[in-house]
Amino acid sequence: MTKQEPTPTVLIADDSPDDCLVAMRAWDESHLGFDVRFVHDGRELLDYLHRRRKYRSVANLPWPRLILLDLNMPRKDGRKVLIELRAHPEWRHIPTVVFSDSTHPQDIQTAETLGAYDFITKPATFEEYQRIIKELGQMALTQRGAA
Amino acid sequence: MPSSDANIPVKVLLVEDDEDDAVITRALLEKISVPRFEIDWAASYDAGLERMKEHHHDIGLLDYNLGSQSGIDFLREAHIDHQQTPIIMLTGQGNESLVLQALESGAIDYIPKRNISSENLQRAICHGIEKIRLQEELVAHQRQLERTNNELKQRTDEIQRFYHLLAHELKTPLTAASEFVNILLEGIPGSLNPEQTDYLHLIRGCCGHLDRNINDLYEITRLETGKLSLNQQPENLTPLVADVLHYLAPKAQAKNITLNTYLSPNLPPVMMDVQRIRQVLLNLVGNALKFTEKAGTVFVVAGEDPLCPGRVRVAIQDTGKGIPQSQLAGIFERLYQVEKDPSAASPGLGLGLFICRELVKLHEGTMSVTSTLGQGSTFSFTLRCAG
Repeated sequence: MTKQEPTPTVLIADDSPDDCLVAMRAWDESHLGFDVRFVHDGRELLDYLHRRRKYRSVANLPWPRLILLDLNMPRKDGRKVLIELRAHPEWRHIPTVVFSDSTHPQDIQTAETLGAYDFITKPATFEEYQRIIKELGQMALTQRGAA
Repeated sequence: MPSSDANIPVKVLLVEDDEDDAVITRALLEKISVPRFEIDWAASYDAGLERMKEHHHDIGLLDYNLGSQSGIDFLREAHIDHQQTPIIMLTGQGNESLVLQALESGAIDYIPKRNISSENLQRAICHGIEKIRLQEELVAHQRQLERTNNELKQRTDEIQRFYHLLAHELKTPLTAASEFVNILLEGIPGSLNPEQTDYLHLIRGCCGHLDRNINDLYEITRLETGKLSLNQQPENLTPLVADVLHYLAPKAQAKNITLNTYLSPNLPPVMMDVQRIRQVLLNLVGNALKFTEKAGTVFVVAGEDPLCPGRVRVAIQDTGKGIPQSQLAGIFERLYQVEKDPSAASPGLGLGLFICRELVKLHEGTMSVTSTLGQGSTFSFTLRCAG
């Protein structure tokens, strides 16, 4: 995995197919030119970054410029993923945003403590989704080369 | 079970043409104290069959060599004769293929004569009797299940017929009523004052509502009797979604709801029966509008399923009140209605979502719902990409 990809990539970990669909459409409509990749859960996210298991022989696995992480996922929970990301010398520089249904202050607090870049409650309207994604995308693009 | 009750002797039919062997076997059986045996000795092939027909025996011990005939012949003849007595074969020769043949011909067990002992006999007889008892029990249970199953099928058929009849009986007078209301509204019998016109419009609205419910009933019977067949073709979803939203736009406007679509520009064609998927979309988007408060938002998204390639996913998301987690599981079941406050609009017969799911299933797709209380619900379904 090289760290300077021609096309910026966002890696989204979410087990809800509906949320993935909405996210995909919102990124497409944003016209920021991101390559949007999906993983089902936390374990797959780490597999992707480690290039192991189902990603072992995948040729094109771009280094993500941004990670969107659902908190409540099967197999590996978003909180555990955050801890692993922070502990890694390279992954720690990828901005990781928690994207969750939750509005619980405890969840927000936990995510911030664990080093999430931001905590965003999944919006109810598509326009709101697009607005958030535009902001996140632009943030990720300006962080270019920061790693 | 006779073998467990020491007081009732086990009736044994011994078919043995060698008198010495018969004496030995009898002696071995008499040495056993539990269970006790009552031995009925038949000294020939024919005598054996005769006894079997005339008397009940708990178990039969059958010698392989019976003069010019064999124990295998005996088993076959007894079988043709529908004799139920379980038979243990006593084999003189150490011939393994003979054993197999005996078991295939209906013997429940075998004892090689050179190994014969009281213990072996006791074990084989008790096991044999127990095996038969269990088999009989199993057959009885199966019969009972078949009977119950048939009864249930009959009931279901009756219910289906009733649904169909009911729908038919309701539809005919309703059509007449609607027609007369239309005639009145057209002013054919005479002019109406504004209040009368108002009331007649109300009646027409109610007739329409009733008509939709009756159609749902029809649809259910056709779905459940497998009479609904699809005409699936590779089709584009984009014009269909646009069409459905155009149709529902007035409803959205009336409640000042923002109704939008975000379909992928490179949506692949899917396999679908356009009329049926139109029905699904009308129902899901219609529901979303119904359960969303004034000035809310409903949007339709569609694209290739990010987590399941080869499928297109369509999701309808609203900003309604949301559905409690405990009620989500049953929401697609027939006649299911979410418990809600009585002030809310009538949700109909509760058949709509059931019909939608069944239609999507017929397309080999899946239907699901997620919801967050206070934020809204998302209903979605998948369809196969064409080709």
